[in-house]
Amino acid sequence: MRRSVMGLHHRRGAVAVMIAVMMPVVLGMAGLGVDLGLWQRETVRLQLAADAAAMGAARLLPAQTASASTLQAAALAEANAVTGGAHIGTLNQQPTVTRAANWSTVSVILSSKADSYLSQVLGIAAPTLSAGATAGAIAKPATACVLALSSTAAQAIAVNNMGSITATGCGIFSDSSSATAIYLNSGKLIAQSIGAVGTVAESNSGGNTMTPAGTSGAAAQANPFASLQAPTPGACSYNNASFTAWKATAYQFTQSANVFCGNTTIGGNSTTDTFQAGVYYVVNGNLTFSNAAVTQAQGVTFVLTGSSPGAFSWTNNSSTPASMSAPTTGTTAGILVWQTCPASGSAPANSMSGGSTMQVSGQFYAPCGALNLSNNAQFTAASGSAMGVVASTLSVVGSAGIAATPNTGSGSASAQIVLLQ
Amino acid sequence: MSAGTARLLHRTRCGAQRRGTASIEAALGIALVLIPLVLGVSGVGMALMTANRLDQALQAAVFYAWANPGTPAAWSAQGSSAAAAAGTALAAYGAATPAATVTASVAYYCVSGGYTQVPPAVTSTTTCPSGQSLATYLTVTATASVISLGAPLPAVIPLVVSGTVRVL
Repeated sequence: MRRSVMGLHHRRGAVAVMIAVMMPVVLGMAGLGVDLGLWQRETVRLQLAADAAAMGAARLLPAQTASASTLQAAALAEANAVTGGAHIGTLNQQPTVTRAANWSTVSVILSSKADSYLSQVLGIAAPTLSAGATAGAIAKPATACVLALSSTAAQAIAVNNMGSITATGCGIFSDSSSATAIYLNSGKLIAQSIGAVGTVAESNSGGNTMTPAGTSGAAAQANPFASLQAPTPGACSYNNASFTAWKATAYQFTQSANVFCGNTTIGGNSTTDTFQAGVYYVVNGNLTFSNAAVTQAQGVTFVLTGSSPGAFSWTNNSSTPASMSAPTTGTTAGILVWQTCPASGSAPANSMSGGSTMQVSGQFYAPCGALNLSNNAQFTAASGSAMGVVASTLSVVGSAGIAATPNTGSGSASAQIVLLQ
Repeated sequence: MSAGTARLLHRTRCGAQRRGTASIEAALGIALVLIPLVLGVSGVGMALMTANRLDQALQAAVFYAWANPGTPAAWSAQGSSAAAAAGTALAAYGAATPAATVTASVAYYCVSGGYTQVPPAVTSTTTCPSGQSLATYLTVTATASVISLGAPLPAVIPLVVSGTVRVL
């Protein structure tokens, strides 16, 4: 009986006591669970902070002047900005910043003491979190001023037999995915950058010059003129006209009669033909300059258009350089020759041959047609002018050459800051 | 009633009382301590899970921005692309992310010493003074409202994750 009464007193409140005794353990376990989740979140956020810190420090790399403490401060500023300083624990204000000796990359390691709430009940200390990242400055691929747009053609840019393409301050690029997207065979490619979606290939015959080495498998470069709409010609001024007959006074072409329908041939007439500034259309026919002495074609665009545009063909066996320039205003600003795309299929190949030099200011734009240079033809930028070629494919053979230069500023490579790891 | 029967009854009544007291204490303990504890821990867990998703949305927008630096002027439109990237990251979790939204804004500052913002904010076409350069900043804010299981937590837990990165 006594035992029973004592037992009763003893057991009354036993559950409450048990709960009270167990409470620190239960709270501690629950708290540890919550805190483990928090620490995991803080680890993830600290990694984002480290990524931002490395990017922030890497922005100072191109100038090559920042001291170690400046890099550290830039890293901390970005780490705090991307996280708002929240939920990354207590950040060590002295991150480890390691810069490559050649200023190409910078690595940042952030460490912080994790926030701790309920797990302290169990006497578990907050862990030290750590995250690292590396960022660097890489040279942007130069904008191509010699660009082959075809996405599949083999030898989309072919340079053979002492042909050469020089792109000073800009790039040479082929959008073709072919294994010979750019093919060099006893020729010369010199540019700020050389690249192709497919492979930049060389013959093993020797005698090749490629500076710098080509980059295969690069990202495609967009057609810089894709958004342009070709202007529409008016009524025909001439039909299948030939301006080759001998003439005592020069042929003078003006904007009052600027639409040539059908095949049109100019040159060989012993005069110096003159084109007044403006747009000249050749509709459904070839435009052939045959031994033409065109010294006055400034501020002009030749638009080869129609449902079936013809080809631009230039042959000149004299040693007199021809000079042409594109208009600087209007819908064809900057474009000297523009072969539009036919309704379907590709446009006929444009060609330049013969020993003379054509010095131009402006772009040769044939998105659906080839441009083939042969037999010592030189297609070069006029001094101080921008010149480029954007064609479906491009072939330069037999000591012919293209010498392109970019628009001011557009081809200058500046560094891009990228996260490396 | 025999003495034996009385003892038996007494013992039975006492046992019932004891069991009753223990049950009440256990019920109180469970109702006041254990259930709120479980509700609280699971509510905090849900909030943490959602906060992790918002973090990942922020990360998606930041990585988009770093991979597509473009030009300062283009960022007035690219800001929404970054927000869309973050939105895609959120949508990947489906309806499980409660009432989440992402917004992005772009600000331009001249910076001195390569990284120190010089207030006030400028525009994408501003020419900064000598020794300073124009920097483009993207701010991404992701918010969500977590519906908790109730007491001891509020019924709706508002969450905000916000971060600013330099993109150019």
